[in-house]
Amino acid sequence: MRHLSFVLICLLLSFNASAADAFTVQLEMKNGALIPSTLKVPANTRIRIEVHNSGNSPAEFESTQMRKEKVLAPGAKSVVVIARLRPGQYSFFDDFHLDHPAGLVIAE
Amino acid sequence: MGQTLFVVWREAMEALLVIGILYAWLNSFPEGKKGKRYLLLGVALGSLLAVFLAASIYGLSNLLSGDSYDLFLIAMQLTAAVLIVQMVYWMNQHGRHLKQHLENDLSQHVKQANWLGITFITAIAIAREGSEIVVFLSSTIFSLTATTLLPFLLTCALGLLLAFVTFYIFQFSQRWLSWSVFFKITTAILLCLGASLFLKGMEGAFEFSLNYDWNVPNLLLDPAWDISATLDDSSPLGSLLASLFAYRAMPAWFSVLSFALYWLAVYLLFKVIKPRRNNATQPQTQQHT
Repeated sequence: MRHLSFVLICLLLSFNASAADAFTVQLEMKNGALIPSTLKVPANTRIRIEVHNSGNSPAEFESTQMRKEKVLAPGAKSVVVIARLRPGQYSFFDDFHLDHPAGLVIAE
Repeated sequence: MGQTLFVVWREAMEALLVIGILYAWLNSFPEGKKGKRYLLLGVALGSLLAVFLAASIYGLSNLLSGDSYDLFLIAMQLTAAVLIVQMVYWMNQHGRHLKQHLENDLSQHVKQANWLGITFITAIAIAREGSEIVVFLSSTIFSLTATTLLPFLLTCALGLLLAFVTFYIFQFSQRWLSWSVFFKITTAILLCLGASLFLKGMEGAFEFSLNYDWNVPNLLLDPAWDISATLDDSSPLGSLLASLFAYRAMPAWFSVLSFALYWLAVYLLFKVIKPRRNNATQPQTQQHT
């Protein structure tokens, strides 16, 4: 019984720990420009990308490789949460401005 | 202006394919006339839903926000995938033998259910991409000036023209293709759209669970391959293929398994279950298709 309580407490702590250890980065999307175009993040960690559409046209943060999609009206701010990224390079893009170069998230 | 046109055309492509194919199928048998009403209902419902989703994106509506929005999208995509497979299966099963089945009372009940299937498939196909079109167009409208107004209107007109052309290509292509070939090609296109929707829904569910701390083994998260150097799914062509045919430049093993699961289910349904049912209901006449 004591072992069970111990395990449950560890489990609860592990839930809280993962929420607190989120690595936050900022991304600005402005009429197709991705600022910065490269994001360096730690691998196997919860990541929060705080996206801000500072342009006057709508933007869509999309990454097929990270399975994320978020439409942002002009001036809108949102957070894209990635639970865990295996080490590697993942491209992302503004789906409403495909004529601009894509960005890269480097997880290591 | 080119960007606006491309975005609107691309987002509309999926919905246009679905509507175009279903309309052609309905035209192929006399009872199909009734189904066109359901198709129209689906278009209306889908458009309303697109506006509602766009309002949620703008933050005008709090009915669907954050998690509920994500869950709603996942549910829509998975439902659409299931309905498409069911619709394709039904058409393959009954399409050519409709006269025989008209004599059978059972067919009336079956057809009712499938008319609604047409409505929901159409509605979902329009709603998702449509919401992005609404956000895109409305934002553009808000920032219009005297100089950008005319190009914008021309773009809209051109977009509508392209949409009609795409729609009628499906109707006309029936004239120079035999029904059998046309049906096989459109079956394949719809099944591919189903695969894409299924994969998007599964990936959405996967990400949702991950965010709620579902402890996934690393293997499922590891990329199975990386061909983004050949064709990045962040490029215009790549993202179009990703949307229509479930192309993935660097999929996680979870995505690969989901994709395989869909096609395995489709294979079993069409190559194992369907022949068995055909043999069971028509013991005298063997149907070899």
